[in-house]
Amino acid sequence: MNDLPDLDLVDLAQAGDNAAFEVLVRRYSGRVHAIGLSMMREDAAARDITQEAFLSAWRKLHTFRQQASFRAWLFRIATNACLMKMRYHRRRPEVPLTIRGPGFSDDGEHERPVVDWSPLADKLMEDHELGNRIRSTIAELPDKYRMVIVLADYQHLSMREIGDALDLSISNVKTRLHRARLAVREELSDYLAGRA
Amino acid sequence: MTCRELTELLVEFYEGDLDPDVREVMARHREICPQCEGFLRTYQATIRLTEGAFRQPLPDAARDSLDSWILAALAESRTG
Repeated sequence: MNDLPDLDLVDLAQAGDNAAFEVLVRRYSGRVHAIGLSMMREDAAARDITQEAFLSAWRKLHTFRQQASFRAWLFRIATNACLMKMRYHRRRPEVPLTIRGPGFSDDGEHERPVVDWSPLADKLMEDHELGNRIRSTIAELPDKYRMVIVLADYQHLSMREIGDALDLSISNVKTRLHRARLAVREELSDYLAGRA
Repeated sequence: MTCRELTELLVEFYEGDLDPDVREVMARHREICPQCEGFLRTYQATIRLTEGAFRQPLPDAARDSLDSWILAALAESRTG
């Protein structure tokens, strides 16, 4: 059963097979936890979100349409749980932060030399220190930037889906996503430029 | 097109939302500006690495603990 595709497992679970749903839990708990951790910034809250997401998914499983992606559906449930928690328990006041990004001269040219460290990227995909730095950079972003980059670059939601989820215009989604990516890129540049 | 203007178009570029004319202007700028070509490559790599960072697994023990906790809650909700 562990090797069955998601939709086959959902089929079985909808027919009352609890073991099938448990396979889905084991398959996705890590990723849902990662979503929770990236949004909530602390492990205890991420664990709560993960449990809530699967409980909610179980209760609503009868509403899941077989043409859809179970993973996307589950991640949407997890994201909504995060948003509810974040709105209800505002962790700290939203203090305007300076989001790092590239600098440009008055002529619109790059102020600092751009080091192309991209050839290193694929080799470093499994680097835990790098992963930690990326996650902590995203964790330090203001909520409105963090949510967008998590939904776009981890959950692969479309701009429209993100706008619908966060009640934002597509233009706002794009602006926030761009600034969040620039902040992560600056952090990566600090870390990798010396190795390129 | 300036380097600043190219940078500001990157989300649309990766979403495939740019008008062909703008894409053409952007392509010409990239041909003559190694800084922007490098910036674009690192922007693209940032997206890949961000996705990879979220995919890094929990340690096994933490994962097992989390799964057990979830499954216990599910079992309770079914009997409740």
